Amino acid sequence: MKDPIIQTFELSKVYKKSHLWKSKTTVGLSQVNLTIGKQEIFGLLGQNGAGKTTALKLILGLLFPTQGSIHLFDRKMPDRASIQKTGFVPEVPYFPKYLTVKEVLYFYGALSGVSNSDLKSRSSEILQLMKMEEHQNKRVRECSKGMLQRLSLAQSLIHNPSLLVLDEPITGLDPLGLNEMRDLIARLNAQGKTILFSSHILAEVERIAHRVGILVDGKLVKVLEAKDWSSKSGALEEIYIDTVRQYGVTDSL
Amino acid sequence: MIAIAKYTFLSHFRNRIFLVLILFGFILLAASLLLGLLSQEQELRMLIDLGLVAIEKLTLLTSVFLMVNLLLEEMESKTIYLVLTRAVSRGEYLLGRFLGTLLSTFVCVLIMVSAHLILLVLKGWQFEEGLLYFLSIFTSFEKVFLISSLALFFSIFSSSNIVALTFTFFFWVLGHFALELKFLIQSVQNEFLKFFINIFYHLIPHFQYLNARDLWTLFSDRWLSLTIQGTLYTLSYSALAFGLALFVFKKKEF
Amino acid sequence: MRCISPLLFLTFLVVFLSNQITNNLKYSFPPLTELILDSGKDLSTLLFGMRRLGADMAWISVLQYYGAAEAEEKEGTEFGSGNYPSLKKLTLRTVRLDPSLHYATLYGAGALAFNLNRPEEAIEILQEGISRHPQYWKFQLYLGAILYKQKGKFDSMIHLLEDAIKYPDCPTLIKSILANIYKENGNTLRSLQIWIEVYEGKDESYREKSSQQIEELKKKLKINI
Repeated sequence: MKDPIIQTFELSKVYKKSHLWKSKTTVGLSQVNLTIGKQEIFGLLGQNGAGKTTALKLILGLLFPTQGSIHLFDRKMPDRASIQKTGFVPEVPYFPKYLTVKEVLYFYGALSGVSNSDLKSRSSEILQLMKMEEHQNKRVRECSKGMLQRLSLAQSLIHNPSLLVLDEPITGLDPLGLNEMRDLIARLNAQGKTILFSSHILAEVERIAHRVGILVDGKLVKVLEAKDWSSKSGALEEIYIDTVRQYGVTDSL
Repeated sequence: MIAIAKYTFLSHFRNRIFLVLILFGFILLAASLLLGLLSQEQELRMLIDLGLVAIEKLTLLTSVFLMVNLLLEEMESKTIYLVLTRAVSRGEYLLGRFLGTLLSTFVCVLIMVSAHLILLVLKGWQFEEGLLYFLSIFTSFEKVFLISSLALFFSIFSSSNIVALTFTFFFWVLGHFALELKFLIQSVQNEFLKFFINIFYHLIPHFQYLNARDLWTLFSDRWLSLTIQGTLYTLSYSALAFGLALFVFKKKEF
Repeated sequence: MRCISPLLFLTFLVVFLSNQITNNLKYSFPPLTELILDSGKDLSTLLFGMRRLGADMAWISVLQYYGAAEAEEKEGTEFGSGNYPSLKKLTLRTVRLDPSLHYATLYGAGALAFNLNRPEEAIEILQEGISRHPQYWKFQLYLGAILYKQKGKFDSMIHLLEDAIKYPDCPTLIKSILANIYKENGNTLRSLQIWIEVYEGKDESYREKSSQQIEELKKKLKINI
């Protein structure tokens, strides 16, 4: 693949829990080989506990691989320059309670290397994009859940990253929210950004993703392209269910 | 790192750290009324001593509680994710948080010292032993600086508020007993035990040596060299504790 | 290894500096075994590095003890006299916590020697003070005065006490003792002068007593000032 943005080579993560003389190991991820190209929208699918969040955290450096390696922008991780070009939106947004919306953007902008002179203009732009201008002086603890989600997206964009990593960005959104998120992702992608996201909501995934990867018990068992599901509506769901049943045990009900 | 320090400072003050200052104000007022009645000619000495102790203890409590909760709260609430997924090294993050917290504490110290000085001047203090007073504040802050770095290490190492606080206060107490430990070394016969107690003696912080008010009477002609030695000791010990904290923090996964 | 070497270096530096400080400083506080601890109070002040404040609190205990009337005291008993069997112990408790509280040594020794007529206990307190702070010459001054008193050399004793009261850190108690000595020896004028000094001084606890003495001595001298 030309211009890979994310590459993982035999990426594995084993969690070890020790209690007195006993220890328990859990496989979070097992020998995942994944490549995501420039300006792709890649969806990571899987059941609860399949390893989606583990994969994202490994890519972002919040977890360390037990085996294998990760390359971002063709540089082996950990690499500061690559992280500087990445924006992250966690599943549940948490911010320092005592800062205002504007201060949050300034804070994360400064951490991401945005210069003081650019911070003001950049944060105005982002607040406008997220329709949060009138709330910019509100303290974080006074913001509603919806505002926090928009703020979460805003902070990921403050430094104009080339790669966006979104953990369950469409979970819990109402239909209007879903529509706005879909439009935003499309717009950001059109600007040249690569987007990696995880999700359960297959109906939305099949509308926005260019490719998807299905994780089952920590293994990347299938990678699909849009053409594999675009023939009919709901095709992705069928493929997903068949794959999960074929490769793993479901514990959803 | 500067952005982290700045926003740490801001967060602490919005978190009403200044309530500590109000508490200090009440302590001073109550003490001045009571001591005036009880202490006869030693009123000023007692006001100075009580004020200095109150400043030190309130600064200690504030700094240790902030430091212990600093990272643990961030890790539990996951606000740390959005910092560590940026081009900020873990060292810069930790140092920024550490310095931001100490800066908030230092500002509290300045405010408390100002209030204390106003009270002393009103009670007729004419800055006799003024140098000793300011050295006492300086060395108290050094003690707090040192114990805060230990608090940071214990909080990251143990990942539990209670355990970190317990260890921190234990080291505070131990640090004031270092000389008694030295006395014990001299009285122990067993060479093996002597060696280990000696190592332990050198590794625990020596707060008694950072107590300008106690040392002054005997060494007033050597205050500069003692201050320099004490400062070097504080910086080295704090750097060691911070280094250990960073060593553990770098291996932490979130 | 890259992470460990700076930590090892810092550990050696800390141990080296700790060694330097320990060798350069002679910490002259009495060890724990010599302290007279009052239940948990004094120990807790030591544990948390509040030694000097602990000494201040102990000093307040001395004042409260000596300032309070004893159970068997009758009306009309001379100010400062009585038994007060624990005065020496309480004074030593204070000065062992903080030997630099010289005032407590002078006050305790003065009260024991001149008010309670227990010069041996007073000498013990002063000798302990001298052993810790030999450069504080006022201890020797007071010791001299007490020794002269023991030998009946009142002129020499008075001469030394006159020297002592010139200094601003002299306890008011010593001034009152000297004023009483002059009064008993018939030097009413000098006694009156000292009591006026006491009245005009900072110690309010002596205000009433000094006022009474001034009135009495003025009547004796038949003067109006």
